[in-house]
Amino acid sequence: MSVTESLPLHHLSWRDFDDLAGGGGGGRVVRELRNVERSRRLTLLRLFDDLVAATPTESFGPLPSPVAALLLLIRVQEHAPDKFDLVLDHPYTGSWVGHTIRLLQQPDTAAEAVWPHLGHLHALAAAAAVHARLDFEAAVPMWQGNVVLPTIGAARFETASSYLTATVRARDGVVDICHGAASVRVPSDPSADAPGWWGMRHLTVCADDRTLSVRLDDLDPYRGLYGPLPPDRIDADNAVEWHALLTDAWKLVDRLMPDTADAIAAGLDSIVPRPTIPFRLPSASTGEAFGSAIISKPDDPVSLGATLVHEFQHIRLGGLLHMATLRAEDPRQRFYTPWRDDPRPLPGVLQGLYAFFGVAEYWRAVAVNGPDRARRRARFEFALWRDATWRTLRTLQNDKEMTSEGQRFLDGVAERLGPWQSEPVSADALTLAADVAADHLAGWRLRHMPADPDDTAAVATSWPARQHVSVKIRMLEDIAPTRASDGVWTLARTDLTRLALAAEPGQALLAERWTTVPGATAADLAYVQGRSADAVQGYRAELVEDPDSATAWIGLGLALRRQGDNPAARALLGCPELVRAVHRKLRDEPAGAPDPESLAEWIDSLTH
Amino acid sequence: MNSSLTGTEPVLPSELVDLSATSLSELRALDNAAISRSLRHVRAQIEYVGVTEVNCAGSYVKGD
Repeated sequence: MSVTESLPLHHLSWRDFDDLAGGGGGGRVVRELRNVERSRRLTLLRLFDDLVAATPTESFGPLPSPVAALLLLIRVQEHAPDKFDLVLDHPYTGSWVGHTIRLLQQPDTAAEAVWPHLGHLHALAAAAAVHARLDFEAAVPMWQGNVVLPTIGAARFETASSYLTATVRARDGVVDICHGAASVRVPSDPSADAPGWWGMRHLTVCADDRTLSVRLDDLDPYRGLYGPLPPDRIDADNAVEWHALLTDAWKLVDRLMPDTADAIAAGLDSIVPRPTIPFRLPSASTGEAFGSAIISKPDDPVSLGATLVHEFQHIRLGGLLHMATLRAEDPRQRFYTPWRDDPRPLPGVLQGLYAFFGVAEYWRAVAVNGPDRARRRARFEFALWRDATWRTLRTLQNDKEMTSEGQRFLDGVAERLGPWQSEPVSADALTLAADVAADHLAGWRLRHMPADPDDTAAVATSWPARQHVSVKIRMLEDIAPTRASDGVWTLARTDLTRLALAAEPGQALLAERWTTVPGATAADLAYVQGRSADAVQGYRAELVEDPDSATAWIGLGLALRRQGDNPAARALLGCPELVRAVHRKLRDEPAGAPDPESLAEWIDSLTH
Repeated sequence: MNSSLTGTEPVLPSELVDLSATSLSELRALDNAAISRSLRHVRAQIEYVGVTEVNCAGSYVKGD
């Protein structure tokens, strides 16, 4: 091709766009996004190349110019283009090139901080050349004694230094990695462990006629979210457990959501395993690492299925965002979302909405066709997330920072999500979901919505004589939330609710395990067990002990509400930030702290 | 920023050039308006790294 010949631009049909918005499109649209991603990576490599040309050679450190690595990659592409693509498509090639370009664009970055990142291209090129079975020799960076060949494995050397170099030599398919007099031979099956070598593990799991094949990557330095990480090798038993969990989760997703399974099979390349965190299933991804999900190991495959769907929603939306502008890059953390404890910016809200839209669909399917023992929990999760996503969607639909394309995307989500809102769900699931949603929203208000100082002062002044002053409950969108949390978060009541839902009939799971739930109190247990009077007494006692306790203020409101329509509960859940702010102010007065429920009831009377 | 889209437009436009038929060797020598526009596009995008972290939902009981 002539260098002056014009090139076509990537595009996506509106049909594919709309399918994707509605959670569909399967592998067909994901393969389109992968093509876009490939061009994006190449364009970033070209940008990297241009920046390197303007970079002083001392920034290369003890390694040759990165151009040598580009030339090796060109050899690989000419000899074995599929192996070149394998490394180009590797999720953390995207993370690396983004991270390194940002470093190169900071003119005052010290050479010592740059060269290992510039030099990582040598490791990528060496990995591609190993895959292609080329004869070559390349110097590569070594970090804390680890020489990682992305997608292949890591050689380990004894050293006390942070950054050094090693040499990769390949002849006739035999690969040695050398540092000084020490040498590690890559085994003929590089995924196997060997002396001094950790092989990259692969998980291949099959459903009826669909296979998912991913790397279980605990080695790549760029597999994290914010910067390089050393290897964090999981043991062999743990890897076996991952395989078993993924096998069952994949069968479930494939059976319940075949179109989504088709998409995941086409787009998920890598899972970064993280340790189990009891009562939590944190997961993460970054738009730069298309095809990668960071997942804490769950206890059960049903939960892993939800996480796979969740993270893949992020992945495919991230791919779409590389070619389409759906919203402004608005960094202001101005939104409440039911799935995060902190105020979120617009880009994060859109991502969360799309991810939990997928989660709602997953639990909707599990509730009807999933394993019997998971269905009760699934009904609760579906009720919770269909409502959470719908409320968030309506917020975004009214936001001026969404583009025309973004509004069309939201319309596509709404077309699928809207009808779910009126689908029948059992009354107990609806009640539990509403309680959990109210708990989170009220807790967020208390921690991130500062009470209006004028209202606080007026109510505090009026309190002794119970004089009427007019107070308006502020809407979420009326004020800028504070980033700092005014009070420690615990999600104990929600954790206990899910624990109760996991119990088999007759199983006293809650009573047996509630003390293991982080932050759970006896009042929380009483509340979740339906002993509202005990819960009210418990939260009253907690507030005597700590009158600032955010969880106790909200717990008191929830427990009172369980006992019937209650004005104090309305204020504690509707404007808890004002109740606590007035209580704080009155605590310093000579009359001392007022009774929390009496104060809340008084404030409720002022809001009508 | 809102305006309506009718759905009759054939494709969603992008600033990113399609490099599926371009080798790395050719890419290094490319010098035209399309690649310049594409470079500006990716350069602007990497200013913002979209990271998502969330607790999807707790998991409790082995089995299933």
